[in-house]
Amino acid sequence: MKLKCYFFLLFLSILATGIKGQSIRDVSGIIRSEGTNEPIAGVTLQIHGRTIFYVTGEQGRFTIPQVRDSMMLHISHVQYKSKTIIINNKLDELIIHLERNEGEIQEVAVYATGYTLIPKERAAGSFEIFDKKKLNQSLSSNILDRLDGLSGSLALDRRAAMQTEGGKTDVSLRLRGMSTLMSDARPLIIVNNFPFEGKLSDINPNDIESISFLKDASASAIWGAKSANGVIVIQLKQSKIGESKSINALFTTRISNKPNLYANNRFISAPEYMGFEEIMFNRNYYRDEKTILLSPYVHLLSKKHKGLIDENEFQFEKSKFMEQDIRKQADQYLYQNAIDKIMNINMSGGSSLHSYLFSIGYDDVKPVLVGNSNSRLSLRVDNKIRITSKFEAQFSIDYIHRMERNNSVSLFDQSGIVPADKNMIYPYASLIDINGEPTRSAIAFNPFFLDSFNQSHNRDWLFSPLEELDIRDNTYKNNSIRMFSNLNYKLSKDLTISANYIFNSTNGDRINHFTADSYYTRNLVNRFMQGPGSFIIPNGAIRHKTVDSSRKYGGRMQLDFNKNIFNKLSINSLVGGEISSYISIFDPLQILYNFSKDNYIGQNIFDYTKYYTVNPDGAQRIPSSNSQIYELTDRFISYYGLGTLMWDNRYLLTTSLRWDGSNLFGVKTNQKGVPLWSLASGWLLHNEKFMNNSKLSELKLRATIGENGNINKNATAYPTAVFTTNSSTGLREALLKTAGNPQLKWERVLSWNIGVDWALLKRSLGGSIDFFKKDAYDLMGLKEADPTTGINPILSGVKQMINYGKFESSGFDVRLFSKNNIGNNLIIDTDFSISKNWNKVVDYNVVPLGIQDYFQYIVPAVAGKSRDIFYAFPWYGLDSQTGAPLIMEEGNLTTNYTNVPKFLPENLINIGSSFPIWNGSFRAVLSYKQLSLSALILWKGKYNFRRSSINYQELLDSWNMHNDYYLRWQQPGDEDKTYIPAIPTTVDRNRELYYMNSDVLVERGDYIRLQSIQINYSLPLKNNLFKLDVIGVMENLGLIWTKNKQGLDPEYHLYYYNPPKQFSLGLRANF
Amino acid sequence: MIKKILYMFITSILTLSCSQGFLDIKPAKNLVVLSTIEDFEALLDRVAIFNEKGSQSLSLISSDDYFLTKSSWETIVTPFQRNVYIWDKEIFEGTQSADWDNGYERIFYSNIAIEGLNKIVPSENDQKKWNDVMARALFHRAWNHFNILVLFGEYGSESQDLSNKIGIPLRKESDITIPVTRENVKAAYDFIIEDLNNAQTLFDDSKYNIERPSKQSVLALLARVYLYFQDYEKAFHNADLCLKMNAELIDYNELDASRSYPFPAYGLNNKEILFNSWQPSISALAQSRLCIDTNLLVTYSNDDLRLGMFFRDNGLGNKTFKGSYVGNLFMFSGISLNEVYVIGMEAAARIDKLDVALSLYNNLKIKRINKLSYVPQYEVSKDQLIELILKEKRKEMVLRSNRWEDLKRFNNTSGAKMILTRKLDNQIYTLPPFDNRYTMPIPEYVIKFSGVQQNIR
Repeated sequence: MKLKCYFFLLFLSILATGIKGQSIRDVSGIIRSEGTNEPIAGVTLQIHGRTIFYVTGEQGRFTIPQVRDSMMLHISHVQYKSKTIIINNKLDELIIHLERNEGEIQEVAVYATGYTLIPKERAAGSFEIFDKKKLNQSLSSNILDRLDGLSGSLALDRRAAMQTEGGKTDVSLRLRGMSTLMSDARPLIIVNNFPFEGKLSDINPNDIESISFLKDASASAIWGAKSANGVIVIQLKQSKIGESKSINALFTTRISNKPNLYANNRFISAPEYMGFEEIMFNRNYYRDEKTILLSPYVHLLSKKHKGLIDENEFQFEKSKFMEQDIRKQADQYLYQNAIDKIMNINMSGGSSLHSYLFSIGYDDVKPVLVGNSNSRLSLRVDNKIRITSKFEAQFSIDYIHRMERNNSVSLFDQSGIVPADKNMIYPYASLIDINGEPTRSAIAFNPFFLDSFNQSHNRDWLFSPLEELDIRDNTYKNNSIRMFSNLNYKLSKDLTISANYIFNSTNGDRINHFTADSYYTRNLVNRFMQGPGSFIIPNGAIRHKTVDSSRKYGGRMQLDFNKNIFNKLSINSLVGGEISSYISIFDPLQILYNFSKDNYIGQNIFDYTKYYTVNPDGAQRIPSSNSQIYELTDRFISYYGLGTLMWDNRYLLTTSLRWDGSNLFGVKTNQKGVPLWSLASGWLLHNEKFMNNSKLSELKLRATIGENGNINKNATAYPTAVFTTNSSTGLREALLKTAGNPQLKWERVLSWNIGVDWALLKRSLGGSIDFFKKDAYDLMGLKEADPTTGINPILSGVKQMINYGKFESSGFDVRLFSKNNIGNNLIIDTDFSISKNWNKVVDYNVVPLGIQDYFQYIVPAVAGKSRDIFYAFPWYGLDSQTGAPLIMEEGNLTTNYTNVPKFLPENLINIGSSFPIWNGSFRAVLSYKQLSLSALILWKGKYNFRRSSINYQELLDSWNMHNDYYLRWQQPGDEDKTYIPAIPTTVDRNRELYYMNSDVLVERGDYIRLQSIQINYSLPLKNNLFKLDVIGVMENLGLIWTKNKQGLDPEYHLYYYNPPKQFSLGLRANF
Repeated sequence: MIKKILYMFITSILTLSCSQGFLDIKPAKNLVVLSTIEDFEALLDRVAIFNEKGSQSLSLISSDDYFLTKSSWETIVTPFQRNVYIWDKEIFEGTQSADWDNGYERIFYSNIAIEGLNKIVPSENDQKKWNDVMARALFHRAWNHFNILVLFGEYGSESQDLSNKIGIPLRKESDITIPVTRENVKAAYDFIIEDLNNAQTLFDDSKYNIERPSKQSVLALLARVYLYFQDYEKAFHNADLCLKMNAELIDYNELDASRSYPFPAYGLNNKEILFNSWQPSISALAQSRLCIDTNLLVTYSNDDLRLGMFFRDNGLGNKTFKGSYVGNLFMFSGISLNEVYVIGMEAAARIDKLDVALSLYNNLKIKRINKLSYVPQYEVSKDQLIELILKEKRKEMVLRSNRWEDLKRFNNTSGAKMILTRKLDNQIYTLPPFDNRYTMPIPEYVIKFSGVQQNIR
């Protein structure tokens, strides 16, 4: 069946390219603006008496086939005065000038919902659309960067990404806040009219035509059970029948500086650090056991203490350490200026019977870490063919090939130079010693042990960052194919039937090749050695491979009915059904030992069941391949309908209904689905007669209500278990997941929206305001139960999930725009967007286990409180004698921290929100003739963040430094000058817990940021068929203002470094 | 034409809803609704549930086999461990009791397996497997009820009226809506014995890996339960049956005391383990903290190999423990053959089978003492023998949860009563015999949810 489908599509695409316009005569030409001579895109052309329209492309060009002399050609564009010309002579190349309409500046907008296109006039719901121009404010090859700052209603949450270097991986999106407690909180993303489950990095931003946000129920309820978190519709570029040939090429280079490793609070100087180590050494803190890693200075102190070296040697070695600062060598060897190169060419064109678009893009990214790189090749083909005047077909295919190399040695990660059980490296580390040789040092186990092991076994168990950098070989390759086809048949004047089919497939391979010299291999070989020369694990390369893949297919049949009755009532409606399936598969890790890259042969026969005595201590089995394939399937059958009535262009009524069925596990079929609906009304006041004389160009009132759904696939109706294979017994074992819930339902969100759109003074000023409220109910929550029954929601036990949570959020979105022609060709265009959003948990009752949970970035849900509430311990200052933080217990100030973990949440103070309540952006474009300058400014307001400080326990155990160390309490009296505690006599986890989470470290996060500046210059070329733009973009320009006194960047303060400034230079050619 | 196409549209849309099977595909391939014997076997083979988190941390921490210094006691993060160490009246301070929760979670798993198996009518070929799996489920239910009873139930011996003693909630079905109530010790005793007897009949002599209980582990557990209730006849009878199946001990003469853990890792190929289970790491009993009771240490003779296998210097003048039967830092808390030996010899001596007791005693000791110097014991009186045996049990079963069971039992026997003491700097804590603190308090949240009666402490 599927195969047949492909053949059919293939046939269509061949047909599309084979057809040539047969005509009496083709007429082509160009449309220009009177005066400026600029080509005009989007001009509609129609031969009188024909039903087909033609639209000009980017260069204002058009081609109309089968034209005879004396035919009338109607030419129209919203911003220009319409014109009708008569084709005569034998003129084949027409140059037509249109006069600017001095009246309205129309804002052309058509919202894409994935099911239909809704012109702004007919929309009663809350939509936002962003065209190429806005998306191109950033030239990043990553869509996420381009989404940042588009609108106040979309907030990027970077808090989860903070802990990984570079970390763009875990940025999550919130469209109009949150509406769930435990289920998926991501907005639904639509590509090719179907939900997109893949990675955003598999979409080339230069292939995007527009992005629409569907924010309220009226806009998004048509997406039913997946729409509760809002919907983001990505429209890819398509060819348009009748559009003339155009070629568009873009070349950009984006450079960003090396990160500034010195503007970083995570380091203290080598002498200070060594001073601390000496204090702790003298307190006998460091245990000299085989398994315990000692830093080089502690090793040195220990050698002196044991009498292995004399004072002179000690002082000599010490002085070498004192002069080191790892950042200097890291900056030189581990980091580089990042360079992204982007090339994109797209060609489109066609005739009255078919059109094509072909786009090829290649991005090559060299990030700041030496050794890493990513590249992406993307191809897009889109064909449309008009088979008869009633029958149209479209077929498009995207192919993306991504390649990532992760061979860097980071300064901050355990994959880099940080030892496995530490968080940082000591500041006196080096990469190259004074003789110019790569430094080798211990990163696991006791250096005394390693020295003797290396000698007795004639092996090397030390780690050298620079040698490692040369031999790492970890690559990820991903191929992704997306196919989309659409058949469209006009049954009558009003009725159209259409069918859509998509197929997406991805396939990714990660291969990590550890050479015999790599630390990973040496470490494993050494651990398993049973004495000198006695190898258990062969002394050769080790290869790890994992494969992930996915398949998605979806089909849809839809009937559209559009009719205009008495020129007063227009009806736009559609009904349809769709079916989709998404399968993702993760193949098990495959390990081959003694792998030869030359002939691709490895070894896999070992005794994986035996516990070998390993060095320096303990027993282990040889790491073996995994045994389990994960395959996840998501299936849906849905029916939907949408109807819009509009009376006299004044009154608008829209309704939608959707029914979804999914393969939620173990639910009776009649409960698998639930109908979701919306109702909306609009009043276009500006079309009322009584408004005729007002200065208002637009005034539209909107009100909507409706229900969206959300799914939690972790919940099941029957008690279910998952199978795994136990690594120690080798037996199949089952883990009970849920106790089952026969009443399982989907989460529901009832949302309200009222809004107004307005524009005045010929649309030179306008905007919109939307108020919304969302009541989420039937939210999946863990039910608290007596653990005696066997249910235990808190410990990692069997959970019982039921639909009982309630959550509400509300807020408003305001948008303001202005277009001012100041005169002398100077135009200022501004766009201002601001959103406020807050939320409250209404019903939820699982009490978290420990007080620490309240300091995570996602705090426990507590009824009556916001999900984003910020908790802190109250701060009472430092003890004047010891410099320890004071805490209040039973009305007395004390420095006994035994009971800190037992503090109740009621003892914590609530400091506002941890997530910005206000979120706004401001974009201004200044254009003068061919030059335009735009700037994007972001604003976040009313939120808090917890700044980092010195944690002595982490300093001692994880080598985590902080430059607050310099400002610590050192002698009585200091408590008046500082709040940073003294070095404790014994390290007490509870003391650190209290200080790190006390309100003295909470800062306001509000900020204004200059996100980017773009300069665009169109070269004044004589040849009007050719357009060349030079683009310059500066991004990450930093904060303009922040409320905290420390000058910390609230967005990036926990990142290892602030994102470096980026400069891009681009060339865009159109012809 | 239009009509035709519209009909087609409607039919094709309707066929979507007819594709019933389409939505019946599992969302994840490894997700199952348990239904076959193999499924329930897999449920009981879950090592992370049934073997890796035993319910004996409270009895281990309460035991008098070790002591802590004030400074190391103070740095224990978990409050219940600090409190249990000094036998405080209040223990949990609102935190979870893993012993309780994990124990009842295992009982819940077992009940699901028992109920599921009861719905299956096995074919002739499957009958053996059905029996095995059912017997394992019954063992787990009994084993966990017993462990919880030892901690949270009042003590009573078989000769007393157990129906007056307050016991624990007994979960006989998996239905989570059945109210949680505390039943008396008699009910618990009967239920545990019933489960074990049923398991014993179902099991044949096959043995699988030691993470699965077997007939021998059922017999060993029966011996342990009867001993706890002072039914020495039955304790001996079951120990004897157990040892008849296999009585081969590890010869400590063949082990290497210089290793940091002399016993094989995770109990693999440890032939004394009948049912493998261990405690999650307990910070109070970390090697760096615990010091072996010096009074216990002096009872070992110099040629006793256990000195080297069980203990090492902690660097600060005391001995710490390295002799877990799972060969790592986790405390072994399953059932092992050496335990059946000591149960058997004590029970035999108490029912006047002195020669049997003595031979068990010598058979065990010869594997524990340097074989060049061991002189077997002969000719002792009953009282002397019992004293010898009890001393031997302490030496053999260091940091096993049996110690707490024995202490509870000794309060009720005619033998010497013990007053336990803890010292933290100058502060002395004592636990006299018959003290209410021998019964642990029910975790507060259980009382909050179910309103069951709290123990008086």
